[in-house]
Amino acid sequence: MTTPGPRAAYWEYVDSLVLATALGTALWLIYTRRSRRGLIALSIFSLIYFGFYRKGCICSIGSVQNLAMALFDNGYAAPVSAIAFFALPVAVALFSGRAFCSGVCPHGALQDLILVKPLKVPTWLEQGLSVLPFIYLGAGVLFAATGTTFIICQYDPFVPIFRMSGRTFMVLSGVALLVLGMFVGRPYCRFLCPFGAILKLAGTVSARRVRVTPDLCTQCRLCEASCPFGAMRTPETGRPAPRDLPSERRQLTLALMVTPLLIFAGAWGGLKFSPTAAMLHPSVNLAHEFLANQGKPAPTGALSPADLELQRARQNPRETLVASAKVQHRFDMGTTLFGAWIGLVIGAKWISLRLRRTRTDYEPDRGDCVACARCFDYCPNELVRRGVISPVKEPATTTL
Amino acid sequence: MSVQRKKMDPAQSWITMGWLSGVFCTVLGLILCVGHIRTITEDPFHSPTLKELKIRLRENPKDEALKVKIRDLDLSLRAGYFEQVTRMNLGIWMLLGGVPVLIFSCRKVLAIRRQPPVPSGEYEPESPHRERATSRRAVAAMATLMAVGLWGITSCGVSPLPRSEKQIDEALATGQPVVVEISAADYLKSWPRFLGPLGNNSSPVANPPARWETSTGSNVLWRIPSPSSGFNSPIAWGGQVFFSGGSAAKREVFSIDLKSGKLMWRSAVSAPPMPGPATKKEIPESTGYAPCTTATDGRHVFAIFANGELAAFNLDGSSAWAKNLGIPDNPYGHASSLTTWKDRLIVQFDQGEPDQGKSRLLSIEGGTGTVIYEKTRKFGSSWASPLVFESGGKPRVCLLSIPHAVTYDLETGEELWRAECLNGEVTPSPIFSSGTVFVASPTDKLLAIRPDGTGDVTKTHIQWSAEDNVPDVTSPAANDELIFTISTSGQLTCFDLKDGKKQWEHDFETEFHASPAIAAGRIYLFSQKGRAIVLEAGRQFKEIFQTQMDDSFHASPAFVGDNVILRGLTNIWCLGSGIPSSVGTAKPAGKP
Amino acid sequence: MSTGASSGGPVNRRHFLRQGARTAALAGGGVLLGLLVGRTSARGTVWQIDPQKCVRCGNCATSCVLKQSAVKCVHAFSMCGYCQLCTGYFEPAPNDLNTGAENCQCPTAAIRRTYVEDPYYEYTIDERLCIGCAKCVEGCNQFGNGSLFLQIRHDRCLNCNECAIAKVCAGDAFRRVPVNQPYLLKAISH
Repeated sequence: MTTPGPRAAYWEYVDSLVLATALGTALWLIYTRRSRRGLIALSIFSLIYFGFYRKGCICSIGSVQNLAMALFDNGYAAPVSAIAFFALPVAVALFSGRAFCSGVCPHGALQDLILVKPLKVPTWLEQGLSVLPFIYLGAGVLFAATGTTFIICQYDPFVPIFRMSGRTFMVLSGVALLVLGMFVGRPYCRFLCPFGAILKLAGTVSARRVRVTPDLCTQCRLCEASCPFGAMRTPETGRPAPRDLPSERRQLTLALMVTPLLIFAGAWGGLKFSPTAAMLHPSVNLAHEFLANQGKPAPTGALSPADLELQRARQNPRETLVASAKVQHRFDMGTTLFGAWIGLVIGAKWISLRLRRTRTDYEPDRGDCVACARCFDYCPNELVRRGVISPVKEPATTTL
Repeated sequence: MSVQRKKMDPAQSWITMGWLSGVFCTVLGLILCVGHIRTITEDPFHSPTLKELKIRLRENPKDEALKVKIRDLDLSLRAGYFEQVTRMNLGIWMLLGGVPVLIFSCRKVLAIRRQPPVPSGEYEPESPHRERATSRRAVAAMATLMAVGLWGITSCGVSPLPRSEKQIDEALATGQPVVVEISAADYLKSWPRFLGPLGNNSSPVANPPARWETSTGSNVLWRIPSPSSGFNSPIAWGGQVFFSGGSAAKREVFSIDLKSGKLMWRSAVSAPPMPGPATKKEIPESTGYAPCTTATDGRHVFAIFANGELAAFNLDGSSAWAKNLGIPDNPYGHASSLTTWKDRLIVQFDQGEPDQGKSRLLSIEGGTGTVIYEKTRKFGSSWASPLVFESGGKPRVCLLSIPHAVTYDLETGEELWRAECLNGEVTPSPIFSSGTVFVASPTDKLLAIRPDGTGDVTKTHIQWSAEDNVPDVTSPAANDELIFTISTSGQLTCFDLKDGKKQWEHDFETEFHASPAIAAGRIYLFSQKGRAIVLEAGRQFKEIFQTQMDDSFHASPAFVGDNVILRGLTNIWCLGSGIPSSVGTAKPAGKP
Repeated sequence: MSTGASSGGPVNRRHFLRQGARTAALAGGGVLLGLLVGRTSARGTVWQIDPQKCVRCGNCATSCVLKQSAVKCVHAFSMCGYCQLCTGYFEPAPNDLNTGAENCQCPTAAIRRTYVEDPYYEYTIDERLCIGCAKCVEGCNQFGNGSLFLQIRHDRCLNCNECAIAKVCAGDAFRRVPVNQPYLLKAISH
């Protein structure tokens, strides 16, 4: 019998190297070349290499789970590529924003390239949905750390497209998200992507940031509607009217006090959620099936996969229950933390929506900006700087 | 602007291309969806038509037209499936080509039509503040939604699973699957093996009719044509009668409904062929493929065939397991019947010459076919069946082969004792009654051996031996006081169990191959020429009934409830007036 | 928070906060990576089926992310009995011992039966046709030597981060194996 070998191990390092190079290129294109065209080219490359050639595996989005599992499961060692795919984009984001999202991530690249006519998502909806990635991240870590399943991988909408096959449901959800993505900019990145959530946090504290123009902002408002991803922020005074000051302070204090309560409530609710969540774990589910079918006759004839699984449990009833109990204890801890995390996310979001900002210029939000470089071309100062248009003396002939 | 567009819209060609690619992608997408559904429903693995045709073929195995139909359908399904997969792949690649064109055209059109951005309205520095207020409400709504969702999922209710060591113990204890032990009573009222429930050719509870009339059908519950040939005797359990039949083409086990005489199922053995060099050994035609009587443990029925195939079926006819022990080297064909003890199956697989070491005793787990032990025996071929009995509260198994009767510890397979007492071609099986093992050395001696010895007990434990009319084919039958033997030529002899004193003898002057059997104080005899005789099983010879039946009997009768099951060469018979409810409705015992 | 005395105040403070958070994140990330270093396998892993644990449930054929599963039947010839009545090849109680579709187990006719010498036949798997349904494996295991068994074929396997079949495997037979030993083959054990 033949034993065709798997992809050679060194390809892992090649992948990591390609990622590092792509990230470097992205940074250069964003900050030095400031070129949207260049980013489109990079997107197409990433889409082909990480997407269609590497079939979307390994990917940074899923690597979070590998790390979580490696931390909590002694029997599992995370591959080098998973660590590289997690650490490199985060490190870049901490210093220079979400360059990974701009054109290195095949998921981002795909959605960016298919965007045809972006519609503006109302701010309230955008903000309301923006908590989802964090919760998805929490759930992904919870289920990976408990060794249940990699939900982020199992429910990835685009990987079936890269593979050109997959479960019907996933293919359909991928197609649906793509059709939506033609009119809503990067729906997965903004409202679901758990790795995007991490990069958003990292980007918020990044040293360097993407600006519409490194030159002076003249507040011409031309870039106001340029961002299809709702990341453009308008100038703010940062100061409320004097009469509103006491009430806003009170509100903020209240929000700060309520957040710990939310965390506790979340933790409590999470603990209640533990038995249900644990059912997703194969060991617990098997124990459940085993107990539910105790005393019933063993099925005969052609056995279904479920019957065969049950048979396995019946051969080692004690082991089945002990394994299940172990997982359940893990889940108690896990769901408690997960609940607390949800509370924290809601509380933090609430507080951030209570804060006033001081901003003099039109600038992309540090966290939300995926560095796609679209807004650059909207800024007349930028175009002049890059020599695309010449500075004109008479204002009447320009678009202004 | 409008004048310009009338002249020539620069976007026009892109619009056309967009439409074309849009239609292309939509149509292709639909085709792919349909194709996908087709590969799910009509594939060679799940095709209901193919399944149905195969079932029909099973009913008419000789239908050549049906075979051709199956082959055609199979081929078209397979070819269709792989073609479909190829087509789907091609389609996906085409879609992958079409979608970028569509996207690119749309973007081009929009780029051409794009108006320069004109900021509308007055800039309000306070608007972000207001937006944040609505956003807060949205976040609150989101949080509520999630809380409600999670609460909903949680309250669906998951039964608590054991978490601690103690809870696990409790769960295991309460849920211990109640394996219905096959009770002694169940066993006694059935005929689970050759020699009956007690191993002495008698039933302690059956009450079969003392007389019947084949011409009028009085006391003949049913008779059915024998579905297959074989010299093995029927056995009975619950409401089912089992026997086996076989030819070179097919070895089968049959189950007949005791109530109605209807064939409940017939299942062919699909034992694997023996690996290794080809055996050119022939199965002797005179004994055929199925001389060995089947046995049941109350959950499965076991059968062994002269070619060494060993099979277990569940009581519903489904195959539990099968093995191939290899064609035994036996001049008359392997004939030892199977026997059981609790969930163990015992196989005596003697063959060849004593020094060849080919003979074996096997103990097999009935449910799984796992061999628990396999002991090599330094004996040659034997045609007797193994006897399982209990001595000192421990299960024993006694095997006969020239020149020894050997008894083993059934649980471990260790030899306990042996008595040198056999001559000739050992065919009568040992029986067990009143704590004693009775062994017939063909046409030589009938011996009573106390089973509590160890080592060679030839000199110490043989209680008595008798030499009158010792059978060479049939096995003896015994009740608590007396033992009866019938020789092939028709000499029925009665001995006292205790001292071996002959009580009486009678010559029926007809040939017997079937062993006598005792029930309700009566002896039942069935001759090779179809004569049936009922006698009182007492210290005096007293004939109760005699009739001529239209059949020829080689197989020993089986008693169950108020019935006698007979296997003739042409018919399967059930004598008796009716089925008492306690037997007829008894469900085949099994794991609950 | 927004009561900075001058417009430069909050900006500087923000800058400081940001730098602090960044340092904290870097430190945290460093610790995380440090923890992970011990749990890193320099050698990658691939998925494989343990044939001893496989219960032949049939999920391999249906659950793989590929349309035609990466799991296929392989044949350990050293264990094969070259049986005339191969219970992996033939249906239970076949109509006849020939290669007619009505007698064969394999739904895609991926097993080839070739005559060697009386009464031996050789059985080979055509992997282009095999879909990993395990029907033959079940037959061979139940009544034969178990020389047919399932393996993930690494020329097809995408090595998903989490194998979709592993999630539903009734025998819990899937596991990650080192990339330099990518197969778990059966062989006659002595």
